[in-house]
Amino acid sequence: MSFGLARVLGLGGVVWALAGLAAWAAGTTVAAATPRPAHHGGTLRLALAEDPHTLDPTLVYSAADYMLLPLLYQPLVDIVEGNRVVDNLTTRWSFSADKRTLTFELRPGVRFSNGREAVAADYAAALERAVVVPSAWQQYAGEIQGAAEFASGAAKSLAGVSAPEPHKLVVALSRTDASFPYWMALNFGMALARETVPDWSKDVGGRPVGTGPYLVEEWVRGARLRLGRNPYCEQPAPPAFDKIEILLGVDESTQTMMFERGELDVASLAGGGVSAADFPRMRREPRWGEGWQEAPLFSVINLNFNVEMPPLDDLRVRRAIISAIDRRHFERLTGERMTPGHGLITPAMTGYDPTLPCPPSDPVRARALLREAGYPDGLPQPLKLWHLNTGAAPRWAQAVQSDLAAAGVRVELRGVTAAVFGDVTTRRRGAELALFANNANVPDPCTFLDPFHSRFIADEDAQNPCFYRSAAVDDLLGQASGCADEARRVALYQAAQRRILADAPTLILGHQKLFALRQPWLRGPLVEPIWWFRFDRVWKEGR
Amino acid sequence: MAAGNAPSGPGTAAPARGGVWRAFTGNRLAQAGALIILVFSCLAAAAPLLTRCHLLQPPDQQDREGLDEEGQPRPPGRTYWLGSDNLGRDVLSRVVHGARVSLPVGAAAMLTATVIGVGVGLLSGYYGGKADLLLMRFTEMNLSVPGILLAIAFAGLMDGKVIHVHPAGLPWHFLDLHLRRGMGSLFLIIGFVCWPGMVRVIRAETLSLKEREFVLAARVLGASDARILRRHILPNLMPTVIVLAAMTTAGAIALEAGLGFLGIGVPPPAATWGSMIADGQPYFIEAPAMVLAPGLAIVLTVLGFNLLGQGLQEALDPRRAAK
Amino acid sequence: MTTPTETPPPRWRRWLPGPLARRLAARLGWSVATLAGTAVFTFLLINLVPGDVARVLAGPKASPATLKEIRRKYHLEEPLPKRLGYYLAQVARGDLGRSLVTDQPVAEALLARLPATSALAALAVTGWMLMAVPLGVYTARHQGSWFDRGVLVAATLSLSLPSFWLAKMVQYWLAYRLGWFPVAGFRGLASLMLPALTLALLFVGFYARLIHTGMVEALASPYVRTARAKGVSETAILFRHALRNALIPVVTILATDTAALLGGVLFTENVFALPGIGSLAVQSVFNLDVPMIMGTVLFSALLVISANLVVDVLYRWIDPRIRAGW
Repeated sequence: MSFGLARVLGLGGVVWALAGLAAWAAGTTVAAATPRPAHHGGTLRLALAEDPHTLDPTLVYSAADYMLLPLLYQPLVDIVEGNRVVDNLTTRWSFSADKRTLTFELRPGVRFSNGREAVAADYAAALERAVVVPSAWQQYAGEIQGAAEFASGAAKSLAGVSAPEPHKLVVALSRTDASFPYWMALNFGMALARETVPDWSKDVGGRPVGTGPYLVEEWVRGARLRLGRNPYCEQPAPPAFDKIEILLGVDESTQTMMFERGELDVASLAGGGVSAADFPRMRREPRWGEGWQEAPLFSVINLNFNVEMPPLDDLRVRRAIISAIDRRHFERLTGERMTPGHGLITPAMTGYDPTLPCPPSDPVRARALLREAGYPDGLPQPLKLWHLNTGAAPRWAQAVQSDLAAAGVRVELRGVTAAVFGDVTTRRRGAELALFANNANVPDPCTFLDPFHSRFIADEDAQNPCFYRSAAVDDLLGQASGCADEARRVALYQAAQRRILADAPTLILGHQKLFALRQPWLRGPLVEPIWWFRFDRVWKEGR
Repeated sequence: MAAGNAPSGPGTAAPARGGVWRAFTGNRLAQAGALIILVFSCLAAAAPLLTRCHLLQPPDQQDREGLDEEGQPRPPGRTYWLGSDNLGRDVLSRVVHGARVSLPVGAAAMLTATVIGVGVGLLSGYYGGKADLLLMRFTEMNLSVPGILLAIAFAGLMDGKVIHVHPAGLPWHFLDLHLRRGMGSLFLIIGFVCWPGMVRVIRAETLSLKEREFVLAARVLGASDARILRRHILPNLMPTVIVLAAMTTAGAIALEAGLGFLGIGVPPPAATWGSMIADGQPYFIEAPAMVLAPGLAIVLTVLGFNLLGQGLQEALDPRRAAK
Repeated sequence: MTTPTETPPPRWRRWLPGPLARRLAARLGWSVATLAGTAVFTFLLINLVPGDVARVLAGPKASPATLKEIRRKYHLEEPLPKRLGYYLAQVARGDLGRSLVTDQPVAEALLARLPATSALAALAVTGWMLMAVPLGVYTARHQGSWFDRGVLVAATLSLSLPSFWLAKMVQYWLAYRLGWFPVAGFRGLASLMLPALTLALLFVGFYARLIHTGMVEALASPYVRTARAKGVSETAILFRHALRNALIPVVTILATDTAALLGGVLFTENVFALPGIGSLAVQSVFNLDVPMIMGTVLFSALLVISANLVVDVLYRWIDPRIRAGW
């Protein structure tokens, strides 16, 4: 599943603040302004299950790689509680009333790790590169005015991006897009020193030059990644640790074992924090009591139906399947690490709708619906359920399979690698049922709703997860993405959500939460929903 | 994953089967191995019956009651003799049903490997010359890649892929291979990985048998190559083949477990020992039976076949008999 | 493979150039041919794996245009024979391509991973030889005793242990529960001890029995009987004569067992998160990283074939009378 095109600057601060309060009430550390650390120096020891795919902000695509970006780069602007975009490297940023032009005034004195001062031209170059280079983000960079002409080579420069002064950056969009500032707070707003990227199409490699608090000292593929302090980065509250050492190739449960023996400082950098197997035990253990931190994620766990493939083209069959799944069982399987939910706008997102009706969980009704649809003895052919063969997905898939079997719907599981999964689920008539757990870092309702527009249906590489088509929804989504009024935009997206869910092209099982377990002497706001982990904001205490 | 043991063959002129049986009855190790194999085979065969009679839980049933309130597996108790697994299924039942995958796959793989291995070794040893050179090179080629790596590569091919074997332009679609992951393709993969291990020994045996008196005599009498191979050499190879077959089955079962562990064996929800260990690893602290039980099953089964092979080899070794 | 029993091992000065050199060259040629054959074989194999490699590179959010670009860049659209041609030309140049996932040169990645695997293998071999030699010697000395039978069963048991299971057991008990060694990761010599122990436990049985068999044969030989009659001490016979003879096939089998060793290393490195060739192999197969997979397979083939070649040559040195028929 992919993300939509339009983004909005949300002002749903109340909702987000409530969610944040709830998280805090669960016994987590409060994230205020970072106070002076108690102990400076030392090495933070972490581990990852596999190498970061890339450290290049333009080419990054994996959630696991995201958490390293704030260490190496600083974005122009930042997203804080309430989904507000605030200054970071800028003294002032602004958005025009028609939501088509952004202006950034950079702070002087920001330096790259090679000593040179960062100027607007570097950020302009980063945006130009994002437009030209094939990557997961190229289509979003296409919003910038003149992107198509520049990418194809017809134009010599990118019309929508200009640096009229050394410390002023102006970005003009080709259409109204209220959510674009979010992107400038993510990897679009992160720049490499432009002289270090002579060939735009090549990955910057293992020694990127950015403005972040750390730089890469050593990267032995498959073995370890070590970050050291960036001597040129001046921050009011610099990070506490001198070095960050990340062991590579360690799987989740082994990481938990290492953590318990004190060989790691954070239990697991996967979203679950600790593997599902160890979670209840470690939650109970008093010695880890203070070590837990949680944050809501912009995540949706859902079972997608391919509505073009019979018998799933029948609404009653889809409703029957939805009724057959036992939500309580699923919640037990995921435990505290999932917020129950049934909408595509997650609790922490702007526009979260708590009044959305929940589809019922009722096997008897499921059988009745099947009978109504003409399948009194259940479905004649088994359905194929595709899922990733790593993480919790196989267990979830097996749970779905057994629930559906009780209702007379036979399901064959297809647990495959990410490569195959991506291939099959984006192919027309590829996968009948697909189990997804998607995470986003844009706190905007467009994220999970925009792909349901019918223009994302394609024979190959389709971004529309259910191959869902509805003129009414297309209309609503079209209006919403081009809307400059924030409140109206949110309302339009909420209406689209209701419409989509009424047609039942997907079953939403919940929203993942990020749980982190750190050694008790590691203090500070470690987790947050946008970047997941902020290793530059933690410090050692009492050691 | 046993390296190629080189048993010194019996080379008796007496009917091979009688020799093997005598060897078997005289050797306690071989009998112990056979006993283990027999127990597992009976359990595997009886499993569906036991399930039907409710003596054994169904292995695929994800039981809500099988998990405690937190969704964790239950410890061993009255309903679940070895406890339950992470989806609430009975571990004991799954271990028993796992034998229904491992043993047939192991046996079928062994047969495949034996047919190919004996064929190649026989031809290579008997005819010698260019055929020998080529076949041995090909064997070496296969042996130079670790079996598990080759098996991984093969297993990756499976799963719905259609390989077009028919010549382009001709509609001979019946030649296409539809590969789907399952026991059918698994035994072929493992068999193809295991056969090179047998060739060297078979070839050495054939070489020595080729020079025996009865073969020379048969040739003098004008017997054709095929007849000599069938009537004289092959029967005398049987003891060696049986020993190798036992060892190969052990290796095949270990390989199947390895593939299941990596998640590319027989797909879920089938109960296989390898995949059970993979699923159970994160739960080792909570529910050690999830890993210990299938692990023990693998060890015992492989041990059984190895003991059988080793015992027979020991008993059939003329030097040992002479002591 | 029988050990010489009539005379002591011949001196190494029996090397004769000329016919032997020619044989050597031919043998070398065949080794190269085998390696090339392996390359073709694995290339054809790996390229039939299902799934779209382009998607692994771009991630699930990529647009169709992005994917097309990536397919073009890596020749993924060309027909199979052409791609094989590209590949073989590359290998002949010494370039094994670049990883599709990390864009790192394959040869460089393999060489970077070699130290960990070699260190592990060396440590493991040392470990099990240290255990196998005393066991083999003692059981040969007291052949038929309950200890001998016990070791036989234990040896068969060690062969029957699945490596992934044993590795996890060792890790759990000795690292996690007792804390004697680090749990995982490559942080110095201490972190290699447990993986080495795992491998050693897997192979010690086989080698103990091998030494046992060799020793038994040597002890029964006429040479040893003569030595005993001459009054040479039992210890001297045991270690100076019998063991030396028994170790010769062990060395040769050790070298040809490289493939099995690499197979055992695969799971062990995986469980203990060691940055070696085995874990690289597992990772690259799941990522569908074609150049890396083939590089790993070729590299392991290279190791095994070279080991075989070395052993064959050395064997001829040691005993030219043995017509092993290569």
